[in-house]
Amino acid sequence: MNTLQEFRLLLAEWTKLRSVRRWMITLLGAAALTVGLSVLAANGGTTDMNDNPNFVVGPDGTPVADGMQFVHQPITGDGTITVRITSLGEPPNVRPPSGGPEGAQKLPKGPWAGAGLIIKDGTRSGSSYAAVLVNPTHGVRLQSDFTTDLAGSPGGGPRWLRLTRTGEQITGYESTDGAAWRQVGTVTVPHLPQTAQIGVFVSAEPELLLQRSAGSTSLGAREVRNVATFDNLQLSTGGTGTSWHSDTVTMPRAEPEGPDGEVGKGGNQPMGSTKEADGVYTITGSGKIGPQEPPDDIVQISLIGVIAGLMALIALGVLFATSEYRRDMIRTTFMAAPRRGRVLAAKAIVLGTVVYLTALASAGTAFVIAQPMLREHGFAPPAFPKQSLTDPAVVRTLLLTAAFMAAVAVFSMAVGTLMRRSAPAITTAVVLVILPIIIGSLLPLTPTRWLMHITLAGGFATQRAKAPDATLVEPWSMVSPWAGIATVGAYTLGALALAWWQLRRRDA
Amino acid sequence: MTRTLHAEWTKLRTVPSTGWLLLAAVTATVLVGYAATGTLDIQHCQAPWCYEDTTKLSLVGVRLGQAAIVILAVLAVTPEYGTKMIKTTLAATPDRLTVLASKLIVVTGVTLVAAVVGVLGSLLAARTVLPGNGFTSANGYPPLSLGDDLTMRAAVGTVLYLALIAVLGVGVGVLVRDTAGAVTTVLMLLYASPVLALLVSDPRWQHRIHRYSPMDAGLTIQTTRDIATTTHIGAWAGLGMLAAYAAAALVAAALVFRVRDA
Amino acid sequence: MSPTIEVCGVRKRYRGTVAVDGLTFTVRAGEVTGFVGPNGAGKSTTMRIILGLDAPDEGDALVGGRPYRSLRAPLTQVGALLDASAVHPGRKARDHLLWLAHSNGIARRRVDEVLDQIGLASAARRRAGGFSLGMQQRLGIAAALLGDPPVLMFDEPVNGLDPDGIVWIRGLMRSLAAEGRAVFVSSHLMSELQDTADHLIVIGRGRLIADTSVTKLLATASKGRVEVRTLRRTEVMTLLANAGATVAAIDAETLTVDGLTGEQVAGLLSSAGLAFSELRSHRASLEEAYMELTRDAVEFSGNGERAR
Repeated sequence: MNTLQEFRLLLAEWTKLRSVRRWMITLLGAAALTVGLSVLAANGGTTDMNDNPNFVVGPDGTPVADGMQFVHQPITGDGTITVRITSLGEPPNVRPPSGGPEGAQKLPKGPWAGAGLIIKDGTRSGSSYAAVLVNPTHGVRLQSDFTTDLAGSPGGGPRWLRLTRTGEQITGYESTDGAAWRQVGTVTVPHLPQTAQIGVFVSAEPELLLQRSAGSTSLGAREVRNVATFDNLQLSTGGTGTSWHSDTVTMPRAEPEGPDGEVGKGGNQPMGSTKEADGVYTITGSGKIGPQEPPDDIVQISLIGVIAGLMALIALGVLFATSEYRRDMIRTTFMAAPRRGRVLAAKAIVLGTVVYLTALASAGTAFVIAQPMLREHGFAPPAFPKQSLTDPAVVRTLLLTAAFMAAVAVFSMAVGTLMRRSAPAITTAVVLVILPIIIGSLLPLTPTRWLMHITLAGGFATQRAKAPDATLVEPWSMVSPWAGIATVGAYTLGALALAWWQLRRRDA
Repeated sequence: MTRTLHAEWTKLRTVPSTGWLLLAAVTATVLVGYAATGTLDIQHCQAPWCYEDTTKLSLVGVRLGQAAIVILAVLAVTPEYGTKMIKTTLAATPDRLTVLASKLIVVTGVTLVAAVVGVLGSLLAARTVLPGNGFTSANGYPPLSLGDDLTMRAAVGTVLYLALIAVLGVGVGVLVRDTAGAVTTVLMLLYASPVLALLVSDPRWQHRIHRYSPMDAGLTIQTTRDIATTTHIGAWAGLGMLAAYAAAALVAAALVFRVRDA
Repeated sequence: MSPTIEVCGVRKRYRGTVAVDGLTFTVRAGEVTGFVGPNGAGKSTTMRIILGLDAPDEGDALVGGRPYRSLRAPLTQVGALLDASAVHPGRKARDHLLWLAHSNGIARRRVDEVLDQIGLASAARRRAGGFSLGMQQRLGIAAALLGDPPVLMFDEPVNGLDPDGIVWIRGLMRSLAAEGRAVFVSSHLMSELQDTADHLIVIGRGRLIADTSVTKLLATASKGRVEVRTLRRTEVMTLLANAGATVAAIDAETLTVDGLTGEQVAGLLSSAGLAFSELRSHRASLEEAYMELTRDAVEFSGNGERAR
């Protein structure tokens, strides 16, 4: 019985929504704006990232960084290498910072650099590898082919490390005393040739310095070096030579980016060095071994129109509520359905569902049309791997973007119910969704992130398929899509609860 | 004309929302500016790598305050259509251009008053809060003052900006005749473009959007530092760009208003 | 359910102004009950309270023995017309009835039936924004009849209707009552209810003034009053006044007499040899009866105004 009544109310609200031609036109307009503007923007933008790369192409075709000081010798077939790392850190008497703003914020570093053992397809930057290493902040890691990263024990102190090859399988071990070994994990490296280079390496992730001030974001990268000392280097079997060669694996240099791009990219890449005395190796190296995707997110770029569609949806949501108060139509509504909470719920469900489906269709359409255009304009592999509708990140982005749009529409409906007048309700919703972005792009980093967490603007993070990134101009990129949609959801539920409370309290 | 002006002033004055919206415009402008300058910390921004444009930040609140002005301007027009009061208005003053001109003068007038209060309040608030965050003369930030030519220009420009926003609101209101439609149109025109500029990756397109969008172009006049590198259009040219939008809306409104049946 | 409206001790105040002040009455089935009072007497407020739109500060309003808000398919139990213009101007007449039908699980076919019954079938696919006042009123009545309810409420239904429309709506209300439904109709003009209502609830300043049948009310108002037509007005007036009656002139030939019966008047005039052309007991109009009833309320309001 109850479900039947709920269904009746849903049917009634759906009839209301579809029977006002202007609202349907607004809904279609939102879809048209979303698709149209996205396609227009995809057609207009170009990039030369592939012609002027700051990355190398990894074994799976994705853009990666690959730089280190590598002390190696060839090995054929299976084998095991062991070493003890006695120290790891930045070299003493580092030259004073030659580039980068004084007051800039240092961004936290990832796990993709350190000192350890590696087996690699030659010394070419970007070739297939597996490594077990100690990262100064992230502890022991077992990594391969710029994508796989397994964690061992935490802490950057002295360690014994061991790497064993068995066919395509590489297993990493760690130990504190060289006697009791603990397995970190096993990775599969399919592209590793029968004869590979094996040895010890040192790398250091460049320091990223971020400066946000009114109107601009500047990002400085500073090359840094790590120095590590190794002893007890032993190659068990399969070693074809007895002498170790030292090489520097380097990356191509990228030109500085556009006008508000990077500043003080700073100096030449410091070369590494290797010293050996009585089996003790002191190696200095720099560079990162890991993913290096350009910050531009081609999924987000193909959804630019969402912002314009959102404005139309805000108007629709508000009107769906405030039209009830024009000419006291709300009385007719509550005469037909006296239980007001259920009316509000039915309105929210109908509007949310209709907008969700429309938004999903238009975002999907925008994506499908814009992607080939973007590829033509330079957003192509390897810098920008091809994204398809079935990629999990794309699916997530489209679903969450549609959810964001639907939630904003329902939020607007709730605000319309609370305020009962169109103009202030539309303005409130627009201001809450968009103004934080405009103001956020002018403020320093911390208040901006805070703004993105506490306002509806954080919902724009749903449009990003790539991981959160504080280095971009667009403020929402510093929060995760899930954090963004959670904020929007909280606002929507909060506004609905307030509207419900007021509907019950207020005479119609 | 005087009588029509008096009539329009009486209409605007006797609607309770007018007072609230003007208050909201002033409060929003001052509070957001105060909050923005309050978050600054000299530790995160030191010369020569970083030089905050404190004047611009102290006036950042108009980006919110203008929303209230948009509602005010639109509500001076559209409810007359919603309630068919426009028929009464035009019966009292058959010359439609006089009606439009009177509405415009009255709305722009109250907006100018609110704008002057809001801008002065924002500068005063910033002047009070900035030294506490380390933005002192010793660090290269003399107190904000209208004696400074660029700050004066920013203040005057911001006041004019709000007045032009009011003109734009009235124009679009007459054209669209519907409250929700007019408010959405103006807000979309103002707010969507700066976000689009963040979204497009192509610097040429960013430049074009900043240059031709009414809000970005119009508020360029607030910039007092690194003008050469951070702006996309000249200060007065930017205000001119907004004026062109407002004028276009107004001319279209005047034409349509004359020939359309009430 | 028994098709009745029961209002019991309802009190409602808005920001210090008392709109309804302890109102109690019952609306019975098979009758048209008129709800009369001057503008601002609290009629619309009472109707909104009955419909669960406004919450009373005190007392209860029941429809068929239950509060409106507890009804599961209210449109099938009460049909109401409050404000006929409360329709979205962009919505077609049929769609307006359709969403109402959906909300109460009423069959789609019923929408077309009602449109036919009310004479709107040809305008069913037109947008309500373009409707004339009369058509809007008909649409509002169609909405009230949609659920075929045993109780009907109309708030000032003849406002804005042309004479044809007024005749039509009176006929409709009579026939609805004749079908055994309870019809509750408000008006600020007693004359509108003259030929329609069986029973009257009269209120003033939120209080009940009378709860009576139309027949009884007219009888009370007419009681003991005699109308005399004579060419010798002055002599007759003097004579009757001397006999203790209250005499008032209606026009040059007609007088009304209070305080004496028809027989006494006839006897006095005959013995005095004063000729008269007609002598009959006076039939008060409903309007007069109403004026008499509300006089106190109006005076009270005048005093109240002064007291403030």
